Amino acid sequence: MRIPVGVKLLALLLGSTLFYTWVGSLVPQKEVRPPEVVELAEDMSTDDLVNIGQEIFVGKGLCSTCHTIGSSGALRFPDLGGIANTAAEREPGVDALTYLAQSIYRPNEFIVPGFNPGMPAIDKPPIGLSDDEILAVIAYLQTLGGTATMEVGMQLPYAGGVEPSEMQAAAGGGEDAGEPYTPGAVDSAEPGGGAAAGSSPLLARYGCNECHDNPDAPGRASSLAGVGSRLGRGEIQRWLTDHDPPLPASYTSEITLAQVRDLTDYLSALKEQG
Amino acid sequence: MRFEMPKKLTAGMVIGLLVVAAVGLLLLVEGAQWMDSSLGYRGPLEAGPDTELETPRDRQLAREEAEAAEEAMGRELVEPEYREVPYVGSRTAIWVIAQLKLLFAAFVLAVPMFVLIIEFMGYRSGDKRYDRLAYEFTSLLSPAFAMTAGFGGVMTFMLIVLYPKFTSYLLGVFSPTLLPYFILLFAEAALFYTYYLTWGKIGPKKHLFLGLMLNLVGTALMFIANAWLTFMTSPAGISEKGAVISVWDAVNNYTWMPINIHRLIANVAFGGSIAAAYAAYQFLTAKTPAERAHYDWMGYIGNFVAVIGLLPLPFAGYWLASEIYAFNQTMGITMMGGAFSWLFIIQAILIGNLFLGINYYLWLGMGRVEGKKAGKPLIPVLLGVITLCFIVWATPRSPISTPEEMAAMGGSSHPVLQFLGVMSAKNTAVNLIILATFVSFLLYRRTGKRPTARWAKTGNLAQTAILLLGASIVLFFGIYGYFVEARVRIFFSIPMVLTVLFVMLIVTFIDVLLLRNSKETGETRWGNMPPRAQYVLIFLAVTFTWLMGLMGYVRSGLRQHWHVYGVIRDTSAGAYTPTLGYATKVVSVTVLIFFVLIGFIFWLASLAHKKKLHTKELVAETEATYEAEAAAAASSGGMLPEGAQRSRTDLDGGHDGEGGGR
Repeated sequence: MRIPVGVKLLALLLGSTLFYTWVGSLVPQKEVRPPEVVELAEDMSTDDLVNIGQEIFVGKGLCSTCHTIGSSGALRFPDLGGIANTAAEREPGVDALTYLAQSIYRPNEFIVPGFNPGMPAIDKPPIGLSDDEILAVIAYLQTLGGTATMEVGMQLPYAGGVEPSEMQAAAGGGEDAGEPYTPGAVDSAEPGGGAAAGSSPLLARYGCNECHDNPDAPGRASSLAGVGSRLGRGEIQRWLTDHDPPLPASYTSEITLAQVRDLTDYLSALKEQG
Repeated sequence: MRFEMPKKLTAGMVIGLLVVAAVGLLLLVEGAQWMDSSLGYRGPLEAGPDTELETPRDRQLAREEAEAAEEAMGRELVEPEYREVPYVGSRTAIWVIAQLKLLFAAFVLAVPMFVLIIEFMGYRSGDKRYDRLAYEFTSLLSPAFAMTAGFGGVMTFMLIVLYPKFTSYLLGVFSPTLLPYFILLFAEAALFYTYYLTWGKIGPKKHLFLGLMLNLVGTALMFIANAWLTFMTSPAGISEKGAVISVWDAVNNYTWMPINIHRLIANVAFGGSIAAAYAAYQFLTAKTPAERAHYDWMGYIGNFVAVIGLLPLPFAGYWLASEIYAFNQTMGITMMGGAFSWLFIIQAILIGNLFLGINYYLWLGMGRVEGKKAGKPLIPVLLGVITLCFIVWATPRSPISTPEEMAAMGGSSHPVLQFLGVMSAKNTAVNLIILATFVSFLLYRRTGKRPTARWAKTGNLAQTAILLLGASIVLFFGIYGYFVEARVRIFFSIPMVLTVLFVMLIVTFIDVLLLRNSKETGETRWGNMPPRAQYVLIFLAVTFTWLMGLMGYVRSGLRQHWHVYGVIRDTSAGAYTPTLGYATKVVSVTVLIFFVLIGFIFWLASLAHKKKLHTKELVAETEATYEAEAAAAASSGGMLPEGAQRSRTDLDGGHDGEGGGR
């Protein structure tokens, strides 16, 4: 029986497309969903942060697309095995935490010798991790050769545009100078140490009330009443470290990290009534 | 008194009867209504017609209806961000339509390029077969234009309806480009019809100029449309929030020019490939040896143009990929090492099939040339090289494996095969495949010819040495790439590509000089090709189209859940990146629809051209001569003598005889 040309052509067309469809079904099938924003609960432990950070590392953060852990040889991007230790030694005068934060927020400020620049800022789209998510990723990175020390609510260098130098300046270069600006470094001997409750003597000490809530002040500043409802914790902390207009030198040169944290706690607790 | 029926009905009587009947009918209806309202039975709960009957439920329903009407009247105008297509979803629906539009647009841009090349060859050589071939292809454009416009319209409406906010944003950014686009669109249509309808009626140079203008306008149109789509992938000229800073920067974004060049070259290859498929279809349905001869020649030319376009395509692809990396490393790595890495294994299989098919067709083509086939012993070697390179190219770095297999391998990568799954190996493979295909073409070109130049032996040796040296350089960089850092290795593709291009240019140059006054040891018998060669041409066209669909998917899919990468996020239900299995099914459906439609266009064209071919008395006479000569040639082991064939194709040269001027 002679098969018509049309039938043969149709068979060829169907056969070819079916073959390629079949090839497509042989390769790994992975559906990539848009990532969701991870929100950290206040009661999360450091271990929780590490687990979340690891998930972000291999998932939403796309870190594992380029970085390996424990590989050697001709790599395209630096291996992150033991990064908790190497981070402290990569840049002179830069501590491990600042280095890790810098690598994520400002990846092109320092390029590891032997590699090309190429890592995008992870807090910007398209990856666009939030400060909380970056905190969790750093907690995970700290476990690669070290121990995680991150806690929920900690302020990271570069987060919210705060430079490490500004944080150090805010810390007053006192006993906290050179340390990363974290609330973990609470000096309970300082006035106002401890949980925010009632009123804070720090407001009086640094003269905040001379402008805030003072009807007689020239060009008076906004009221601090209910500021905890209007601004988030991070925003309050940013105001305390990067105030506009700039605060007097008596504030910037004397206030310590612990005091900034206490003031943040205190102001965050000032919620709108009713 | 007896009433007698009138023997003839007059018009007045008829009208009178109709009036009486109408009045009677009216009275009947009115009477029935009166009887029903006044004399009809009324149940105990049924009130009279003037009494309004309302139950609490009726009142509630009426209230709700009034409230709904009031609410509807006061409703705010809220423009939805997305609308959904039932069953298949918006994304898949617009994907299929946009891909079909793109394939037809590629066709209407590719065919004029192919036609202009062919027409120019005909003008230069004086061989009227080229002119006829060019004209025959131009006739395919008219229905193809209609298809492109149709799908373009559907796609535009779908974008407006399904993605109103995003479409509005994109149109806003590129609003200054819309007017030039529409003007060019009209110019394209005007130029096409002028070009088509003035065939043979104006001087050849003027006609060629029209063809050139048609191509320039078509290319400009493509460049503008490319600006819109490449902006989505690699946006520029806007702020972080999407506000326009510079329209020119938005147009001239990272991937714009690489896509322009890639599509331009791909269109040449696509046009040639579709032309070859058309010729193959006509060959298979041809009734006479003369038709087969004509369409065999047409298939050869189409395939030749496709190969010319295909060879530089990987290099254009490298450029595009490097620009994607330059724009955003994450996107580049997602493409090559992340979610889309396996797509390039599918791509390797497609391109491998293309090269195998092209080479097979060239090897079969040696059969249509009489005399000694010096290149035949090399075919198994070339087949071996191409197959080996194909295997390397399609080797994944991390094969699909079970947890036990992964444990045995010590990771996700195979201890040996992982070395074939990296760019060093793949670059080497693709460059060697290109060189092998080039050699196949040289062998085909030389079949039936013997160089007569005094330096022929030296020339042959020089060609062989250059080819071997080129292959060695490619191999050297491929192997050396394993021993250097990534930042050095990434640039090795440049010397590899340049080596291959240089080798092809210099060897072709020597070959042209060598064969300038060559002696023909046998004639080319057009039509003397087995049917399987024609099926190969059609397979190549299907594969090429499928590859275009797949690459269209990766280009668009790279944005993942972004309409405009990093700026305008896709929050629709279809924002996810589907599995490769799903993507290949969509591509297959699109390709099938395209070929059904393009088959319809071919069929329409064949009605016109074959009829023309069969009604010419002159051709019929020549046919008789041709058959006699073919029979004589067949008895001596050959087919149609070249001279007889040429005389025939000259005689049925279509419009040339009608319009003159050529």
